[in-house]
Amino acid sequence: MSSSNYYDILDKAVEDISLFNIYSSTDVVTTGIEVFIKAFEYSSDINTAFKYCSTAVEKLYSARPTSVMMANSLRRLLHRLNIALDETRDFEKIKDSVKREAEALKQELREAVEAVAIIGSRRINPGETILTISYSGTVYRLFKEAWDRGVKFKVYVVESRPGSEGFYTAKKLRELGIPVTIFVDSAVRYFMKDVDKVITGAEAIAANGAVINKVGTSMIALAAHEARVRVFIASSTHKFSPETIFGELVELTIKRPSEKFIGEAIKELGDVKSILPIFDVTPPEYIDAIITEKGLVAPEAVIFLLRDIYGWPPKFPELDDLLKEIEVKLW
Amino acid sequence: MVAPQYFPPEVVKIAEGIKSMKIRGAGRIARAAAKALKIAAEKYNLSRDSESFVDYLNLVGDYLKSTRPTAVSLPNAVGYVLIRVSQGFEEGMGFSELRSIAINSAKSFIEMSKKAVEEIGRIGSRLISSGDTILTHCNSSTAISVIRHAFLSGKEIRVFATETRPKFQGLITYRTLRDLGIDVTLITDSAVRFFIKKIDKVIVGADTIAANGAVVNKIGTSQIALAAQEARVRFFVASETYKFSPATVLGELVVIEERSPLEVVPEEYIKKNSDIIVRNPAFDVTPPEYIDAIITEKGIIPPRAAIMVLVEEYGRIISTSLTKIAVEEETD
Repeated sequence: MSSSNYYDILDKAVEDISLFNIYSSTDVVTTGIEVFIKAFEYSSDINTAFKYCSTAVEKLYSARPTSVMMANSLRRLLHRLNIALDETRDFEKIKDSVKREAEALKQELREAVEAVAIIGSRRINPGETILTISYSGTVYRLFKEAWDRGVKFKVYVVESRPGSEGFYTAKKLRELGIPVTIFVDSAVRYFMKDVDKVITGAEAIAANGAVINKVGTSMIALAAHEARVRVFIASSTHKFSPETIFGELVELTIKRPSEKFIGEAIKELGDVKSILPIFDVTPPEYIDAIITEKGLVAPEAVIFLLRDIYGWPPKFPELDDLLKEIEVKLW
Repeated sequence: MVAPQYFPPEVVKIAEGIKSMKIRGAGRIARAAAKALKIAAEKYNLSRDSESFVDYLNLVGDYLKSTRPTAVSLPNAVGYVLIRVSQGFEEGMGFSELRSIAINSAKSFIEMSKKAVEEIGRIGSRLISSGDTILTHCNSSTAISVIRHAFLSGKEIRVFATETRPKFQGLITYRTLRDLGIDVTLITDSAVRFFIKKIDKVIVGADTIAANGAVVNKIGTSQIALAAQEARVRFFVASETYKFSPATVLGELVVIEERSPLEVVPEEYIKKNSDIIVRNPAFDVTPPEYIDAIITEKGIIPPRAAIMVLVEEYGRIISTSLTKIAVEEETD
């Protein structure tokens, strides 16, 4: 297979990810893992495979720098490759080892989403109105779980500009039979008194329990706090950021104005000066609990879960360091 | 309410224009209503006794008010003229005197309304310092007047304008300010809290102001005020005094209009997803505790002092209505 083929596949995936054509952050990571593995499938020797997959790591990471789960997953795959190189130099064996890790990781992510959905669904009581934002695969599964168990509830969803993923959420929930109401992002405070609980997903969670999610989430959390409505975040621990323990900030994606993000108006106005953040940060004091696959925890307890996963003080290799280490081994 | 045959056709045309929203914006509606009353007084050709004339003008007033019953600038414009006419009537004035009072007070309302926007701009611009970044929402002529006056007086300012879903009026604001030469950045409504720390002052307009100082304005205003309060950013409302609602003194609630879902989603989406409910409230209520001051053409007031403006401007209407309520209760 020719090398241009692999880069075509990679570029297509990177484009879908950076243009937010894939709504669910877990689906984004799954796409990333699959593209990583294709680096081995499109190669017949380890050097080519490594050339492909190091390009993939770089491009996938910059396509969605806010996604901690992407960084964590890529780290895990590179770590497996690094270890495999110590054990063997047989390409097929290395390939098998990395592929098995990828399959295990995908399985783990799927199971984590299921566990979050089951735990979170218990927080929905009959007759409640739940407000959500954007499209979250985890929150969708959570709603489905509650609905399938016979709990009757209503969902309010904001349209979630820019991107307007709220319309997709409304459609998907309606297909399950859940009554759905949609309104503009500006109407959050207007409707807050009708809302019993807020449940959203997450793109990343920092060591202090601050939640990075679709822009508008922090406004919803603030309005909920004002009205004493509880806020729950559904997120597997794969989205917890170990780097933030050492003071790193989570990089927030900001888009340039374009037709996709500002709409038809850009045609009429010409060169619009606009700044379009895709994510914002909700401080832990506005969050009642984070629903993880390991259980429901207070945002302040995120640090304990990070300790359980990465040890204390936490040890985890940087992506760049891993790439360098592997490069040296292959020299 | 259907217009009687003897109403001048110009009056009917204006009323239809307000109803169909060809004439929109609180200020323009108010001026159009005053103009309609002026025409009605000029063209009056029925019995030349003062009582018939006053009854006739009151009928025209009711007819005009029935076009958009929730917009407070409309009844206030009508009331501005009628209260002066009925005052003259009580003082025993004759028909031609009352007619000139009607015509002149309608003229002075229109004049006053136009001047108010400029005066608010002049007064409000003093609250803005050079180097300020200002956030505004929707498309308000009073808020723009404040920003414009500050800019023209040589202050270096930047403006952030929300796009203002569902109808994107923020784009009109963007274009207006950009054409003046002001540095303006467009943001989504959902990004207000993200940017609020970069903002020094928020300035918005108003549709209606209640007796307790609560401000009814374009949907989204109240959560901007909430985010500003959280970040200790000052929040100003720029509003003419005729947007203060005397009816709220009497316990009436301001009705929030819910408009067509077609403003939010295209028709095809509704057809395909008919069981998804699309709600579209046009306004929300910002409580007075999130408002630092209301800039009126008469001066800057704390929101809790709204009642002072109401008593000063509409004391007569309020006390007349209170008397009516008392009478109604007695006859019940």
